[in-house]
Amino acid sequence: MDLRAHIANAGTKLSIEGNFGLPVILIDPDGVTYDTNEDGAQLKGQVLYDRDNELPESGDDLVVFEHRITLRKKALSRIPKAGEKWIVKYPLDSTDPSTLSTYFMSEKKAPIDGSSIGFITIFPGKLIQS
Amino acid sequence: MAGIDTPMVFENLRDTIEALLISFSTGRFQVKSEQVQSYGAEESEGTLRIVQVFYSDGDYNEARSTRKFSAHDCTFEINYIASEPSTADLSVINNPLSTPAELATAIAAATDGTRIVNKSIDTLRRMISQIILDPVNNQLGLPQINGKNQVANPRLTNFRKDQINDTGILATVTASERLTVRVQESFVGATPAVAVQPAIELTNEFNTLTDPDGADPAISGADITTSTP
Repeated sequence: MDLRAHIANAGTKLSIEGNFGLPVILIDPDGVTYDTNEDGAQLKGQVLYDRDNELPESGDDLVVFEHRITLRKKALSRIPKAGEKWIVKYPLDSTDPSTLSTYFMSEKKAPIDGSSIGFITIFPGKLIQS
Repeated sequence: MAGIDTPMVFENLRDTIEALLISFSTGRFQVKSEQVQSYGAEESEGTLRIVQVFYSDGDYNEARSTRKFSAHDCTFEINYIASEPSTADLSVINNPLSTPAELATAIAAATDGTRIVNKSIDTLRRMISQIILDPVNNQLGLPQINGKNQVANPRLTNFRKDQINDTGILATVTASERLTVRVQESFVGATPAVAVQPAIELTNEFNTLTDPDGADPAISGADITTSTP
């Protein structure tokens, strides 16, 4: 058995899309919407919400919510790349997974690409009407 | 005159600067006079961008002092904090009937928050500069006393914008600059309200500083004369 392939698929699927997985919808720069995984099931990802942040120059403690969305690469037919703009929709309340909010993966925030075991983490930002 | 239990001019100035900025703040920014150590980025989002003003340091000018009066070169620290989200046409992006081409156009036109917050802090600096350096406000809210100004030489210096932080869902940036002014302070300490005529009186060739209220700023050079009380 190829352990790496196994982890990239079955293992990551369990940890990311298991009981802690939340529905995620992606819209790529071409306007194509992705809301299902490779099996046709609802696309799910691990959604994390909070983190303290410190401004290094002023020394103040600035609390900024940092959202991290981790997805299995095998679940995506197109992988977000650095420099691209994507729309990301996901629940803000983990107890209400059916209500999705719209966020923005900016071209200035490169995703973390876990090539060795097949995951990708993107960092969406708040989006308001222009 | 100021004493141990009464505010000095720099304290009054601190309050009038804050009041002056607050009078122009509605819909533009918010003013905080305390030094905030920990805050949430959403507190400074959009037009809630923060202006912090506080007395940070000062020097009594020895060359412009007598026993009872001293020029006080005050420095007020002004800190700016701004946060902004990204923007896009959500009426298209959130419309389930939008075509892929329409979505692609809306996504391409989305503006990242770092660009918006960079301009926001520049706008904030412009606003504060226009308020502080407006000749109409050259006394920064302090009244004249006996027709004489209490504040001299208000200057804004050392503006510095920090690196934009975009690791969170809001792009944030801080900046700072300094407001320096010269005021005249008086010193009676804990002595009683009724002043005792000194046996030795400090005068200089330009001003006799016997009127504590509204006296001209001390000019360097002083002669000591004695007088019989």
